[in-house]
Amino acid sequence: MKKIRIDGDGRIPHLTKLLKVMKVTCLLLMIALVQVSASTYSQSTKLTLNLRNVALSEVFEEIERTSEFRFFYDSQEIDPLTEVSVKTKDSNIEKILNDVFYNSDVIYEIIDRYIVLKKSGDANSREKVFLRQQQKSVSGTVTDKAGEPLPGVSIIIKGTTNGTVTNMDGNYTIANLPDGATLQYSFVGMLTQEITVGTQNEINVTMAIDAIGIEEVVAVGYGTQKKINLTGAVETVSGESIKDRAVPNVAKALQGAVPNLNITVTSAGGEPGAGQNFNIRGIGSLDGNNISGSPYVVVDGVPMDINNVNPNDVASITVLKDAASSAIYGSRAPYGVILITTKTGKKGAKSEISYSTYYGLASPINQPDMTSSVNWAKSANYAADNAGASRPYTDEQLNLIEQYYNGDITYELEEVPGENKWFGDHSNNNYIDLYYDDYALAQKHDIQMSGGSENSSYFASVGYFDQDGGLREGKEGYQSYNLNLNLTTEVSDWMTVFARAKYNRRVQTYNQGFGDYNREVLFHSLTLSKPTTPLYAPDGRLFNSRLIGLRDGGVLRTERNDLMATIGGIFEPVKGWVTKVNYNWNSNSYLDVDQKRVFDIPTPDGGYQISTESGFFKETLRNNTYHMFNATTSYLKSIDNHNFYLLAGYEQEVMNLFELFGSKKDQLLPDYPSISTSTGDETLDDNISHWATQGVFGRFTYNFNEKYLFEINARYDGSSRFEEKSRWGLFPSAAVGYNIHNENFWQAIKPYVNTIKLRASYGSLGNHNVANYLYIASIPVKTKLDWIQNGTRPMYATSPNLISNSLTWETSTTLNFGADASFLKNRLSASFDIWQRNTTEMFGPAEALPAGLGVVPPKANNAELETKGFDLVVAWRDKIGEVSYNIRATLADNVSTVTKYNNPTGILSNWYEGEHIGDIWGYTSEKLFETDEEAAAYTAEIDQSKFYNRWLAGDVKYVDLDDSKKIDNGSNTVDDHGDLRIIGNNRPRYMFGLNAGLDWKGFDLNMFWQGVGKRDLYFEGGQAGFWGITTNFQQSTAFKHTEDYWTEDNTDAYYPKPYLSDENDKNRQPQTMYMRNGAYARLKSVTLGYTIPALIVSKVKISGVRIYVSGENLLTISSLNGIIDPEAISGSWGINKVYPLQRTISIGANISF
Amino acid sequence: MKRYTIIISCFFAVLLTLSSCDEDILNRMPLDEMNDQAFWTSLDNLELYSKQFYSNLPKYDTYDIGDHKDSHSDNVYAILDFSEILKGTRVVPPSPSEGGWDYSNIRDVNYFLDNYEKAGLDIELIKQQVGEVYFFRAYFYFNLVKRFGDVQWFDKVQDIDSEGIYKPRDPRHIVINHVIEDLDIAAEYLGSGKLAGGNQLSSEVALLFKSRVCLYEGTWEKYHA
Repeated sequence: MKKIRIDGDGRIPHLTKLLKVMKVTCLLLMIALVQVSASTYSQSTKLTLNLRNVALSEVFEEIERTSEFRFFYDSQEIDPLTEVSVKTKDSNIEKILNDVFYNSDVIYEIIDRYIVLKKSGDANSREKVFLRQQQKSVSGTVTDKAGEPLPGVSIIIKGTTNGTVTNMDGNYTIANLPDGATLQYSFVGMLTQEITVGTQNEINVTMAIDAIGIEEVVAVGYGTQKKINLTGAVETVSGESIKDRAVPNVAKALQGAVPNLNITVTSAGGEPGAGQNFNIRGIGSLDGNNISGSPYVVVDGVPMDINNVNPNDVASITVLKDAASSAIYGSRAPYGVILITTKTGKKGAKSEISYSTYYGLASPINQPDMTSSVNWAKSANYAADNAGASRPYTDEQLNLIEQYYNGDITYELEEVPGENKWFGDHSNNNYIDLYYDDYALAQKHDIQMSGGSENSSYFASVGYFDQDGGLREGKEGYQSYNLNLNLTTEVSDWMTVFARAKYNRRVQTYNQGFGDYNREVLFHSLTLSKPTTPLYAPDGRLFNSRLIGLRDGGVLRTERNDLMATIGGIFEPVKGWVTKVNYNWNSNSYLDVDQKRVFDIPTPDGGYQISTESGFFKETLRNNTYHMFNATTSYLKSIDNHNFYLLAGYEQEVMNLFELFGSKKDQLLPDYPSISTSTGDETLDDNISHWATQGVFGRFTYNFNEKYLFEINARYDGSSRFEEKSRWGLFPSAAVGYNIHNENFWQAIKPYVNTIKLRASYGSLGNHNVANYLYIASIPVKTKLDWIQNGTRPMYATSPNLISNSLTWETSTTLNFGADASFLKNRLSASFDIWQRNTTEMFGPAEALPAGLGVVPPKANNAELETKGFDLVVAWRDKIGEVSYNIRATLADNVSTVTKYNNPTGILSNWYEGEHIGDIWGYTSEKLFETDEEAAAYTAEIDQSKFYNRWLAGDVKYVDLDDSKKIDNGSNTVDDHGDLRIIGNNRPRYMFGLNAGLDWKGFDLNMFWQGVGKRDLYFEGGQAGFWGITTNFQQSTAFKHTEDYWTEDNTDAYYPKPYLSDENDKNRQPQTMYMRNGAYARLKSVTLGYTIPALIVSKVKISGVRIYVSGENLLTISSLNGIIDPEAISGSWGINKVYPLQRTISIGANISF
Repeated sequence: MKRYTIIISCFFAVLLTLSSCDEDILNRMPLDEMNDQAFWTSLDNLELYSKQFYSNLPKYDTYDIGDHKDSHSDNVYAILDFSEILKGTRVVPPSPSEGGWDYSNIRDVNYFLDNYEKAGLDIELIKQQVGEVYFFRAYFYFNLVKRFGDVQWFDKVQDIDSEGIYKPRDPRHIVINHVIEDLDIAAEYLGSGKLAGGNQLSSEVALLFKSRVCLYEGTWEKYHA
């Protein structure tokens, strides 16, 4: 570090001023240091010096070399050549300075790590000051563009290290100027200016914002844009905010962070390695795959699976929400874009290595409580009695159940004397507890290296994540491995080339269900476990076949390898004209190894029985190869206040998909399964397909003085998925913006409302995300006809589907209005968007045609959907003393309405025009009948026989809304729906997120809440996870929450009277009484971190250490707690039949060297 | 200035190279299915197609054996309830999958008969396959007549814009005449059972089936027409 001497009028500047003297780089570094550890430094630092008869400057140098202290003094005041001696051992700085300046007129002041030397005011000194005032000096004020004074701008005399900084009012004075001096004005995020002093005595400077300021530029499609000039609905998330959380993937870090980027749990629930559902601004289409409206994820310019991204590699994430900002991606991005930029090195930066890790313990949350054996048996028998069916538990069994429950007997299985039969269904096991472990370990390790030379920079990272499964006997788990490499080199001043490589490997292992069932059925089976089922055989072996199945049954292991390589160049022959060329190759391979094993189930007599007749082994190999080439050229030009930007580009993609699978039954070596060592029936098949796109696109932006903003984007896209004549589509968009705060008339309000911008955009996008070859009639060839000829089942071909000769793009058109504003010295900021998206030409069922056609008519572009909503972000950040804190809240909503659909009868079982997606049609129910007489009297008047012909006390009283004296659904159509009404809507509404953080002396505390403000849920009558008893014994279960059912002793019950027969459903029609509130707020994460002062860690050559503890999913506020998790409501087999989410407590550390 | 020229030329050269070879990039035909146009070329393909219909013949199947087939008749005592057909309360359901009007088999056989000649193969070579398909058209129509009586007769594949799909039902005797014609062709084309090999249709089967059709329809003509 260079020594800076202060020239001045003898006034010793304030600490902040001192800082500002430094060059900008030094300044940044120092701020960092100051924040790391505060004033304790001067006390805690012990120095040992032994210098005899040396110049004062040498003492200073020695101290600066061995510590972080820096000296500031005026060499005209204090002669650095004064000879001194000093000898100390482990002394603090004050003692050393007292020794050195003993008997001199120099006094000192220690401000943190900075030591300011001055002369005590004697006549001599004053004289010098007087003399110096005769020399040339300049003063003035530095302001920003808006006229606000800028404190802390450093001003340096060019060619020297002498300088000063502006004070709180933006004023400065600089003296001792040599003739012909040039002053350099610099400030973080502003353009450095140089001004030749000449004869001026006063120089007032207006600083302009630097276009490459860190906060100011955001990534947009195929480029970057100044945030202030954005006209679309764009939200950014910094990598910093992700880095500090203990999350395994980007999805978990993003949930709730961006309004209307809706990230929800899939039917895989909290399974290790489970992905998440993404959508931007709600439902995009009613057609198959697109119903979720998944956004297009682009990582460093290349489309990629978001689960392959290591959250630690993320530098920034931009979410493009409206059509105007995503139109440049044309048909690939009908429902928004997530742009992820990974970290890169910096040219000329010193090499840095960092390591981060966390270890977490995950335990399942919001599992329903199983009831006791006694209560379960009673409820099952009661329901059977009500239905007039035979009791599932005999009196003898009930007796045993009670004895076992009370501890009077301890055996679970009993031999029936003389019959070689065993009897046991009286245990009291809490299977939910038995299936899941209390804790499962998760760990993550990341190493990152970055740095650069004069012309090149590099970034490399490796990451490893490992999560154990939560099933106690299960063999599941998940590992992911990440490698990321970014290299950039400047070949010449106009050419930069770069290469990137990304490798991701994910290995997921699941339990493969029981027997012939797949793993989804596992949770169905677990949920329906009865407490009376025995757990252990009399000889102590595990007896429960579900647990044995988990332990000894087969597994499905999926290995995903994703290798991506990109090379490209950036050419800028003329300033402002930038051409980028990019080629990407991606190989994405999967290997699924699926084994269903035959396992032994103990029999009570000490023997075994086998679980299934034959095992099964299947290997699936998939390899998808993707090529993408794109080239863009852009030109940026400013003429006076007119700023133009023009971009044109071309892109093409080719995807080849390949899948080969084979399977065999009957494994000879189940522990080392292979197709070669299996002997049974075999199958062999493949799937091969491909698609390609081509597109040209362009963007034109214009702004006048960053005040009036204008932008056009367009893309002309072709896709192999459509027939030649309907293959190409043009997707244009336009947007305007108005930075009102740059108007002169705003200046009076500006101190309060610092920035305000209004935006409007309109554009349309196509949807390429449809099946391949929809327009081609092809004849599928199949194997194994259900017919034997000459001893074999022959191959055969079937007829082609009827194809549409006019099928084309679905189009989504978005109109967006937005406003961004910041207030009170930019401490408060807010952004609001209100929008409407219309999906037109949506795939829908064709007009019904006579049966004589003999085939289902092809889909047609004949449906329309309208989605409306808003996105809001409000953020506040401030500092009180040493505590800096921030709060950021997001709120979003969207509602989709079907505006056109081919449903001429308006039948409610299909989409109909005017339907709000998620509407629940149901009956209005008033209460449970209290007495049989009441039920009889009511049903004599109002006919409830549609559901059942017997109505008794404890049954539901439905309300006859249409005065027909009959409870029915009419013809179940929009026009004739009888007593059905829309009683709720199951789409999440008012999704919110709240992030609050504070920093104090190296401590950081952050918490994050996420939730849904309104959601109605209705659980169908057959869902045992909610109702407990269903129409048959096998599909029934009992939890603590289902115990509150109607009996003669419990007439004030929540649930109606149960029946163990089809009669049960009469009380479980969709109805108002059993609508549940699905709203929730969840404390997603709390992190408490501490950054160890650099002083302490620097002794072991470490430049920074942060340690933290973190908790995920700590608290949930929901009316469904203890019944159903409001986020993971159902798996593919129904309510509660899902892998539970977990609460994770982690400790972690980030260390940089 | 030289470097600009290089860049510009590079950029456009790349674009040109790409666009020149790009004529076909968006023409992507299925890779693991036979294109309809390319299918009708060989005897093997015709055989693949005609084979599919065999699975429609009566065979061992949970719902097709024993009691189930008889459950619509008075041979069976109903445990729970009589079948709708037996009670006479059955309404033709709207969708083919629920047992309503279903012409999908008819379309499938006609698809073959419309296209097999494209292969340009000598009829002597493909008699077995063509004969099988004629047999199955007769078989499917006979089942339709048994279930619905009058039905639309189609001897060509119908398209969305075909007039034919809107025509009224053809009287059953017309349909049965066509069925008999088809069976005559089948009997002519199909080889003798001794030569046709295991579990394949033969001329004897076609004649057998013709006799059944004629008996059934003759009975109906006699007692109901």
